[in-house]
Amino acid sequence: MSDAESRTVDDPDDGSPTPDSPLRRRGRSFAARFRRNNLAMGGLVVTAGFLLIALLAPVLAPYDPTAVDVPARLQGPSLAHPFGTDRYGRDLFSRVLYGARIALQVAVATPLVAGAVGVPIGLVAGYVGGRVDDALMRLMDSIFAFPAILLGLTLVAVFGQSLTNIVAALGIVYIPQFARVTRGSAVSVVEEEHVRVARSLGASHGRILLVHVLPFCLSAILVQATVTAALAIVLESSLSFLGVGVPSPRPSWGSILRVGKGYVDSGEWWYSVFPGVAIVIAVLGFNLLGDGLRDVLDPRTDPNR
Amino acid sequence: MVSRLQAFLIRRLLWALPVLALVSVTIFGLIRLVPGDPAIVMLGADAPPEQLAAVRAELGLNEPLPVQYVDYVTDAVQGDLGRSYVTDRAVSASIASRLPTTLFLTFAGFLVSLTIAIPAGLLSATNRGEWLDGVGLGFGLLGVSIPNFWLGILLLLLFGVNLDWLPVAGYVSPLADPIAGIRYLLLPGITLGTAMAAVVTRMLRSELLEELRREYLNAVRMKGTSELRVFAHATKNAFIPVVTVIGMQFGYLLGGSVVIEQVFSIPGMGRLLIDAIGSRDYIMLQGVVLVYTTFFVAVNIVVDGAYFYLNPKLRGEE
Repeated sequence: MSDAESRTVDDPDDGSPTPDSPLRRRGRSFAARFRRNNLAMGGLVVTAGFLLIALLAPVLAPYDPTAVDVPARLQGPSLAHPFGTDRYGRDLFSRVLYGARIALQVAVATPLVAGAVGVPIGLVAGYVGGRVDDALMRLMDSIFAFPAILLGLTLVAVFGQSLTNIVAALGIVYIPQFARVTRGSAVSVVEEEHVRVARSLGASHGRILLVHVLPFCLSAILVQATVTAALAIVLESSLSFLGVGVPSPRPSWGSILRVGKGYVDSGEWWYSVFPGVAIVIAVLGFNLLGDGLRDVLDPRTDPNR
Repeated sequence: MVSRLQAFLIRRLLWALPVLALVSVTIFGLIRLVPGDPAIVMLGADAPPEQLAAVRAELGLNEPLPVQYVDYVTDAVQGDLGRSYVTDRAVSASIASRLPTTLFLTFAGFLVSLTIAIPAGLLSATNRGEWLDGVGLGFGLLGVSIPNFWLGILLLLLFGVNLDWLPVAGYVSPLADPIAGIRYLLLPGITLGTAMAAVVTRMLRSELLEELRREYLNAVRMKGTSELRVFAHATKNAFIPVVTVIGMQFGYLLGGSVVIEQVFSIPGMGRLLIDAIGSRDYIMLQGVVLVYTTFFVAVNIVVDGAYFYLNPKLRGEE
């Protein structure tokens, strides 16, 4: 075991015999490359922090995020209220912490919804090719023809405001990206030897796609999922800012900012500053992680970049 | 003879038709998907029957769906997007009065972003690994992570309220009063343009780095060309894919303007859209979304044309 660990990852193909399977070797090489990548590690730390805050919000928050205390309304940051209070005297620090829960739900569920539809479309398009490929990709392009915010707005306006509808709308918005990325990987994988062998051995189409094509598309899908999480947080907060997001009194960062914007002129700066900082940190975490993963998973990028 | 570019553009235009058709079916379908009777959803159950009847007639709800769709498209092609029962104005007239504002805003964002992105991308790539590159990379990452509306609020707090240098809300057409117009568009333009500047900076940097490593540059150097000219060669080629991104971003700026109009209280199409959603004015909603999307598709065609024109591999021989 110690022998395997002492081998450096700089030289993964040194040809010496190893008891590990190729997949495990690749997994370890991935972990080592990941650890050496500052972007990826930074992103992981920030994202993990975000995750912890979201999960532990009830423990960390000093107040109930919906507890109204009118005499204490619109107070600036203090020891009792580090982020100040809002127009009903609710503690903004607690509301920002709880806001992380909505952001987390959006960040996790959106890529899942978009991927659940987009990945199969991309796989089929890349595998079958020809007319089917053309038709599917045209369809994706026409969804893509809507700017994301516009599509999100329209869908939520029509189906009504709720967290489920917003996640569904955001999921639909990002289907084309998943389809494109998956198709891009699948097209090249389909040409590879192992797929041809599987086909000549009589494997069914479903099995080929699932066992021989999908695993090789996963790295691109993973990067896309991370990027989509970041985009989804921004889009959800934009929708909430416009008043078509998660309905109150649930504290979404965007809807806090929507109200806070009304107090910009009168000097209550904390109302608009802290929720925004929270969005930026969460989004930055996912973007760093996405950039890092792209570097780590793409064998062509040089490690010093 | 039709040149290859013309042939390409014609193909691309024909290609846009099914996309627009799908888009119109989607918008049309979505409005009809509203659970319950759209007329009641829009006006409320206790609305007077004659008003409900008027809305049903306006939407053609008594006709079979295919007839409704054909009517809707025939009218839309002729510029008739229906009449809003909330504002009691023709939707196309409302849009026409708001469209220039939104286009000015979008264009301001476009200008700002290229003014930042092109120097930032070039400097970042040529100073790779040094502090300037770090600044460029940091900007690229922060720019895509800051939601544009929050950046707008921060700029409002700083320049509009604390320093009181620029107006915090409203709009003056640059055509009516250029100085005031620019003062009103400055903060919204910066707000809207920053995210795109970040995307273009990142893209330009990585394309240029890739291009600077290419073999053909050595051939150029061997002719005794100065390093500056060599760099110009690389830049020109690096710009080909960047142009696509710039063009696509123009479409996203159009989408982003919806939010920015809300931040800076600019009376553009975005506000029209938000107001329509707020008052459940679905006739206005479908009109505004259709116009946005048509612009988006049109921009994409122009971008593809530019890409085709710039790329010698595609342009080829006549």
